[in-house]
Amino acid sequence: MVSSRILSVVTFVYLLSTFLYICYLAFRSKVIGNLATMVTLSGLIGQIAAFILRWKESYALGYGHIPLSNQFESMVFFALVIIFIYLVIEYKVKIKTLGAFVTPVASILLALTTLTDSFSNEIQPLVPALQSNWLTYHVITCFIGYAAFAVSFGVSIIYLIATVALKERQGILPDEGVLDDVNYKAIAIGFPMLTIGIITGAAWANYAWGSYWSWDPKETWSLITWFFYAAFLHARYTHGWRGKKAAILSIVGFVAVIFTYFGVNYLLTGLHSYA
Amino acid sequence: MKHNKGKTEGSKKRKNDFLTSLKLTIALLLLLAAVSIIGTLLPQNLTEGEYLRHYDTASYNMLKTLGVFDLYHSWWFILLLFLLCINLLACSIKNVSRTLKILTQVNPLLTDDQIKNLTLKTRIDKKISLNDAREKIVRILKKDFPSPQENSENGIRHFFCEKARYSRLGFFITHISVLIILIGGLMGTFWGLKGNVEIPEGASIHQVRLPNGLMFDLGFMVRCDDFNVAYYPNGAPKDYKSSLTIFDDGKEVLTKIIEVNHPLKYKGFAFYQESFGEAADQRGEITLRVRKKRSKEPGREFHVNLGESFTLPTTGLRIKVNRFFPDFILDENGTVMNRSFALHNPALELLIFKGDELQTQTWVFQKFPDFHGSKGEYQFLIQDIGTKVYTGLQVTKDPGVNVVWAGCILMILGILSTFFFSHQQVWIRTKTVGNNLELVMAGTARKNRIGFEKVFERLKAEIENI
Repeated sequence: MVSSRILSVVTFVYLLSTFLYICYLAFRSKVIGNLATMVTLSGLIGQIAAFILRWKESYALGYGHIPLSNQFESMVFFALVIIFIYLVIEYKVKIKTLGAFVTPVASILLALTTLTDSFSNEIQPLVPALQSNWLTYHVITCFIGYAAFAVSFGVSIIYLIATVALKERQGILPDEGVLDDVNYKAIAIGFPMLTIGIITGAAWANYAWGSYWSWDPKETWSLITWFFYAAFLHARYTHGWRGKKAAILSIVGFVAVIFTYFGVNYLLTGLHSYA
Repeated sequence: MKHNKGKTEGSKKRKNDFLTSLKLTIALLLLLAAVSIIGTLLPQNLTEGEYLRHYDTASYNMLKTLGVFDLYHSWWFILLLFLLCINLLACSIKNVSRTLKILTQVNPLLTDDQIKNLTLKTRIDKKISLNDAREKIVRILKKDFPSPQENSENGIRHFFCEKARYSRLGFFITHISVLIILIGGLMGTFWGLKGNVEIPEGASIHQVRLPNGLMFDLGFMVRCDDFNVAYYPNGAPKDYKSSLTIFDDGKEVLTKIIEVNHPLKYKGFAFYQESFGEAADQRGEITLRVRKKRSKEPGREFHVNLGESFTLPTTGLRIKVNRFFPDFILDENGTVMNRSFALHNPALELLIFKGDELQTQTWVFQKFPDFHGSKGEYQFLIQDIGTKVYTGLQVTKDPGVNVVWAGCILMILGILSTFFFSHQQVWIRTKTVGNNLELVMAGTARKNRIGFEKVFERLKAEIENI
């Protein structure tokens, strides 16, 4: 399949952009910085092309559906949205150093899917429960949420490195206030998207199984994540939990996100066995 | 003032503060998250036997008393949710009155007091008359704000504009939506029901089985006309479809083909395609070959349903297929009986009539076609016993579901307005001093102050150039 071959190339393109962002971090060359952005953008374009091609390929196989239906497809889409949200933030905040920490997340995700055999990249037909328009709404909103939380996680790691490890060497990493602001902004995107993702999931479950909420482990973990980020937002609003505290909370929150996404599928059993 | 407060008033206030404190909100949210984890690690709602395989009786009894085997319905989990509701309601009411006050008391006039409180402010002196400036100022403001207002007081002209004013109420809408969703959930718990039913093709039901094993009467009949499974070329199931017909008051009301994700709704009940299978106790069409005993002829095939009869032409014999046993045995007394629903020894009981008079009763066996139990001059060979497929339906009634959706929509609106809109206000005060116009410009934004600063700087630059 052409789309799979493009994805293998994109994996290396993202690795290259990680390398370039690290070079940028070390040498502060504007040329390298711009090059890094261009390479990342071309990787994103390649990935979008692969996404559309895979979609078309599924129609050629006779059971066309949007490629968001299993672990492989969701991981690839996760990587796509992470890069997209990162580029938007880079464009808005004009800070390129974050790239060194965010692009590797996307390349690791893609490498896991393309270089290992654990996730089948075969296009499979949709089982009856997945044949619904809610699939598209639910998966897209959830993964925009997850990706935004991934960005907040990356930013929080940088924050901790900047304030704890590199305290004496200021100037290498962006200003603490900016990092904290980006952390908050990413969560301010992630939380509404997670909310909509949970609601569309509930609506779908009601159509498919006649019950909008059944305390299935995946549902419960998404709610646990929601409770956690809701607490984070309230703590920030009233107690002014910023900086280090906010960074640590974001990291814990992202652990909950990852558990909701991966952990539940492999460690717990439930209805939500697709991805 | 503080020292004068009576003791009762003080403790009342403290209690009030506790319920409306955001500390409580944060604590409750984190607590709910933490205890929810337990429920995903301990398997929920298994039978006693299944739990006893993993726990000894003492720990089982202790855990059962704690309610952790049905954690999300345990009294203390509900109590936590209830406390969160009280806290949300108290916080929302407290804050909404403050917000409404701010919203209703917006002063379109830029007073000196207000200027003091605003962080973004600037003064511009221009050699321009008020009449020339007026239209230009309004035009500039209109680019970012809908309908700027103009007011005059004591010869001073005030311009005022704002946007996303009601986004300040987003928090209130969000909090109320949580309550509405929980109320909808409670309505479903109290007045809703969930049941299951299996309907063989062609059969009708009017009752469904509730989780506690009791039967619930729907008050109308549902017939399964047909059930079909379609497969993809690779063998994976593509569709499960049941055609259902509703009969109410003896009349046919409606027919709908349901499949996964497309339920049938009638009188508040929804029927979902859940499963299917072969009905163990029912059979479809039976094919029997009948020939004369010890004859070399192939004989003749007859198709008949269980409980029905067919006639052997020219003999005047009528054969009724009376009973079907999937697992025929003889007990110690020699009585025939069915041991199970598994097809270990499928057998049919045939009654052979001549006219209206019963001539012979006999059992024939699919696996032992030559068994000599078959009396009379004819041999009956079971060629095929058709299966009967049943469709498995989940039946629900949930009068709270629309309340839940209303709450969800409100929640989305509330959260979007809280995170993506920011109440922004800009004032411009103009005073003519000699030939000059003195402009004082000030502004504020509820959120994203850095972003608003840029908007303010741009407005300022445009006003400077009029």
